[in-house]
Amino acid sequence: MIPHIENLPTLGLGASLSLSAQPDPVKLVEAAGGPHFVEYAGLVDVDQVIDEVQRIRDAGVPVLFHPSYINFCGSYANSEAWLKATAEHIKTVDSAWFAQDCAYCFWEEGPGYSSQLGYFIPPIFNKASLDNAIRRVKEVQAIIPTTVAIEPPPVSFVAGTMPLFSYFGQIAEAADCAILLDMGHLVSYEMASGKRVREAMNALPCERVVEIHIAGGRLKKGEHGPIYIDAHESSILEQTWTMLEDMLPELPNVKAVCYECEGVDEKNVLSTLKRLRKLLRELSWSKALVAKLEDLA
Amino acid sequence: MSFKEQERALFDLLFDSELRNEFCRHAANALDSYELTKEEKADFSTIRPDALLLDAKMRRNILLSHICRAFPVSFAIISSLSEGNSLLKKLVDTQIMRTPSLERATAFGSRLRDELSQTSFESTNEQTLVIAIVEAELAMAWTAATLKREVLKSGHPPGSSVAVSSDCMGKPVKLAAYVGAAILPLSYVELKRIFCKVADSELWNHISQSPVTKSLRRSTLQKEDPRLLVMRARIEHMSLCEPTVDHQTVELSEGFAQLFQHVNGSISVEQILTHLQEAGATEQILKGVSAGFQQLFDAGMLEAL
Repeated sequence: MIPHIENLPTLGLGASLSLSAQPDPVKLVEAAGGPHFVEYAGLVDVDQVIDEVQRIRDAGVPVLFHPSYINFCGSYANSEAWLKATAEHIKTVDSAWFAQDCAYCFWEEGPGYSSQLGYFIPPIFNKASLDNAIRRVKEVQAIIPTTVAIEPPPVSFVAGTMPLFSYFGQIAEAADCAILLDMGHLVSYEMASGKRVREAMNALPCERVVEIHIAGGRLKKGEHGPIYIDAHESSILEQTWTMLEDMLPELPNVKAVCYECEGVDEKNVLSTLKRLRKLLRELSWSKALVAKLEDLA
Repeated sequence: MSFKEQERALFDLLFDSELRNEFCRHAANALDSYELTKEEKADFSTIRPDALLLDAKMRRNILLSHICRAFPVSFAIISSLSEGNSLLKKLVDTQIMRTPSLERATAFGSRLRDELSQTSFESTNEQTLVIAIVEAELAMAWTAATLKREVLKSGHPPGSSVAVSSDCMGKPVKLAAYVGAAILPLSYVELKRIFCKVADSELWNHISQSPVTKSLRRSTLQKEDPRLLVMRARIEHMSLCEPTVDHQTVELSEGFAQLFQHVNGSISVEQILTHLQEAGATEQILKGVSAGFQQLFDAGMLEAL
């Protein structure tokens, strides 16, 4: 029992969307079978997004802020100004928790969005990196006014030999934070490392997993096997659905499942949410989540 | 034994193509120059070379699509040169990636200009015109970076421009802060219309698949209708983390460029007009010059002292 995680609100089945692009978040929220919450990857300054966010909240659903500029790993510390702006952002939009990929978003040259490196650079999976990651998470927790959750990032290659769930499990325990698991990212790790994530299942503190992501992806042919590419506008791969089916019965405390569907048309979003709803009812071990789905049905 | 050294190696594998290629050929020895223990080096043995190559390629494409937004016309024209896109890709290296993001566009543009000065063109004139375009966009990147740096340092936006006074023409005049100027072979608006057929955010993807044709480059640059582009960087969104900047621009006839050297805070526009009159300028020219200066005052690009 971890009270600050246990007590987080159950949000149900949501969608991650671009605030100013199609599909329109409000239109989706108002559709029958639409998302129960909206997650967005916004800019650090809340005044840049507040009008769009308020439209969604006025439609009657909560939002989760899920950016890509925090270093949750590595030796390069986060800027206090950026963390303070993040705290203000979270407070203003009332994000129930704060989750982001645990990867490098910036290097020693200074803070910024992960796009300045192209996209996330994955952490090195070893003990020294683990110690740095714990330091980074605590640094964020010191300023952020809500529960922090770390997410294994998408990887096309893996450096280091520590199993994924050992690495993230130890950070979560040491920093007392929550975990977000993206099913596609887990598939990407398996393809990049040749290891099955479930081989280290006992290293994952399952009760700390509060959120699940599922999104489209593409496979590129590599000399040594397929390489997973995170591609939210694409269809969800069968391997990703299978990963979800395998993981759902292991996770008792999931509060939110989010379909990341930026760039997907509304009809496909709604049909995927329908498939997800059915799967969650059948397989999720999170009683609160299943009850929420029934309530909101 | 150092984790920082491992981080340095990881960064270099992503952005140093020579190291990456060597790693893909001989993973065991490629990292010998890094101060890594046997165990630390072994952490890199788990990297799939094919995946590393793909990752680096995709990463470079995303980075170029970002940098392209600061140099849309330059990128489009360079795509029409043989090996033009390769030149742009080559510049995304550790030197550029080690440059703070605030200064990265400026650093990229400077190196691009230097590379172009050593690239063979169909004629020297064409080379001069292409470099002029790069320099104009570089001036915009530079004024934007300077303004952002100032804002982040001071924590507040620069003071708003002083209202234009009715007697501004009679006072010594200087360029306002964050203002740059460059001569272009054609109007910038026209160059963008001709070369950039999609939004700036989509341009790199577009030109890397469908480069601008040589004939379009040739025919456009042959039109030569030179303009003085004057740009002023302005804060679009104030932030203590990520201020954003846009540019206000004014385009004037090329002849105006010569008058700009006198805009140094020592003489007034009226004095400049008097000198021109004494040199035999017609009434029509004087009216045009006066209107041009008034336009720059109105845009906040000039300050009367």
